[in-house]
Amino acid sequence: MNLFDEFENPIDGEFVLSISDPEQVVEMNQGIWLEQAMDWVDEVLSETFQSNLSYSVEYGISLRGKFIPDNKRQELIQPITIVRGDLEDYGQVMTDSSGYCWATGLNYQDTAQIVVAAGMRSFGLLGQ
Amino acid sequence: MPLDFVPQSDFVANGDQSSEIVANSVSQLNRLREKVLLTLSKPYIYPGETAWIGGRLLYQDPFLADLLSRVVYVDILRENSEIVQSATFQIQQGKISGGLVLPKEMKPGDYVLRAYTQWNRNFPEFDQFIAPFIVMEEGFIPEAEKPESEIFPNGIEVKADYTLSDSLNYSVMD
Repeated sequence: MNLFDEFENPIDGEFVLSISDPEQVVEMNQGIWLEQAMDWVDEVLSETFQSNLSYSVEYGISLRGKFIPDNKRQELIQPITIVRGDLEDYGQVMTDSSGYCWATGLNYQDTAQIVVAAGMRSFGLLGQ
Repeated sequence: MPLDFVPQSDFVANGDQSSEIVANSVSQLNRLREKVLLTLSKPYIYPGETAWIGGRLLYQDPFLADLLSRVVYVDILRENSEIVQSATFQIQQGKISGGLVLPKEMKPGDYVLRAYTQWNRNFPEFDQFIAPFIVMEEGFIPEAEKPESEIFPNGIEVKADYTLSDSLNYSVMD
């Protein structure tokens, strides 16, 4: 399928076809139209808009946590290793100076086993 | 650039980006906005049924889609804004699909479907998707609105006859 604009120039577009059985579902106006939804693209932010962007972009299911040291000698800044299932996915994040960490990008359907470990190789595992 | 290129020792890179977009932080933020658009498979749902949802993300700047969210949160709210059910869906190539199984004991009435990403919450509320839907009493079938029809004179009968084929002319549907 080729899509053209009013001047017959080819344009990038998508064709969506949705079919439902009229004997099973009675058609009613849902009030959701893709055409109207596209009006949002023209709604620009007001000139006075300000945000400190406190919510991060999520690239997958996210984990938030806090590292609590067992003793005072341990630093709050620690590498945190996150492992999904049987090493299906893993990653490492550093805690901040208050011990908090946040990681994103885990992808799984339904349920998954996640192991979180804190520590440095040289000191061995601090917590799991 | 040749492999043996050596920049002059007094070379200074000109990092002065004085374009309007860089100067205005609001227009920079505007380019990073995204919005979820969902559609339900049916305009009304019975308790205990699965609400199949399909959707896509709208971007202010589609070129930045790769930088933006991969997770959508979907909530079903009662009229009094109380959350009845929530689910998380993955965004794959700008699209979302999945289902929400409504509990059997769900009370019939008006509900609201809300969808947003975590990144959305930095922006005004109109960046969140909100749409009403009805949970019907079990067994109740609403009366269909009569479709527009045209009667042709002299007994002309109009029959639907069409085929769908892909770009290689293979028939995809009878």
